[in-house]
Amino acid sequence: MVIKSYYVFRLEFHDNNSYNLFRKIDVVGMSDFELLSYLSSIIYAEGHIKIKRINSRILFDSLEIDMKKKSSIESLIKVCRLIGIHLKSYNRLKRKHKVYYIRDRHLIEEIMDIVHLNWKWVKLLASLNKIDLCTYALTKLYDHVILNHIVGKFFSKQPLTDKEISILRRVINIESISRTRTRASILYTSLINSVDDVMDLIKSLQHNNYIIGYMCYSQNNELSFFYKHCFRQYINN
Amino acid sequence: MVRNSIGYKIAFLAGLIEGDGNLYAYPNSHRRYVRIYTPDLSEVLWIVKTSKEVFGKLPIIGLDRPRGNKKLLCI
Repeated sequence: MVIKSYYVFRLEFHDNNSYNLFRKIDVVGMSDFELLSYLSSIIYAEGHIKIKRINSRILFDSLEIDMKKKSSIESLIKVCRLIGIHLKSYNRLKRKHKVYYIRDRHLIEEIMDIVHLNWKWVKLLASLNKIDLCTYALTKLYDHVILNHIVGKFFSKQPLTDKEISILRRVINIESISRTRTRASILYTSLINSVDDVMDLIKSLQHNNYIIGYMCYSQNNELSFFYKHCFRQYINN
Repeated sequence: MVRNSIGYKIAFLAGLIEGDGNLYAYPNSHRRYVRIYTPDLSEVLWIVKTSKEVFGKLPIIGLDRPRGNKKLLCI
């Protein structure tokens, strides 16, 4: 058994234009929809979905945002005041930061809709089965097992196995894989845009290594319903 | 559509930087840049595609040291 860490990507814009653009961003001058998309991307970055379990049913509970930076809290509250949302909050036990949460179903659906508009394949998944644990699980599976594990390795200097190269060829649209092209341009030509692509990719792995390893991990470390409700239907088929 | 406008995409990027990223400025030089950290590859793909539209440029991507308690077991 090997323990592997996630890869953390660092994206940099070395460009005064982009710096000025983000420094000058003023929430007061934004339109309502821009405000909402600003809010939903903060939630995408910092927030998480809370799920509750009643008997065997899994229900959506709320969207939560953990905030530590003071400036972020100020801008978050400013945005919410401008849209007219009242954020409720409570203090995290034993930690110093506050947690803000939203329970308004209508607003949450709107936020999820904006996020899905960008992450196309998540939207497709969500349209099949709403936003629920399954979406969450497949998101994790796609990102952290298949892509981060293999594509992340491609960016480092670790050797790639034959199997990983064949997966990479499907993820990244190039004939022969060389590490000389710029990373951003390689990702720019990526073919993976939809859930069907992801599902094909998972099927082509024949449920080996990555998926099984991830399932064992989630079975041991996450709650067992995570396994039952998310993975079983894909693994049995 | 309104949702695909540049203003909306900039707002979304700004929110991502507020959440996951930082602005860097050096006091004695003109060097300034924007940085985003993320473990999420779909986010990376989106940022790469959007920055091409917004700035006409691709960002520099690097890998950071693996951080925190995010570990993955492979059998």
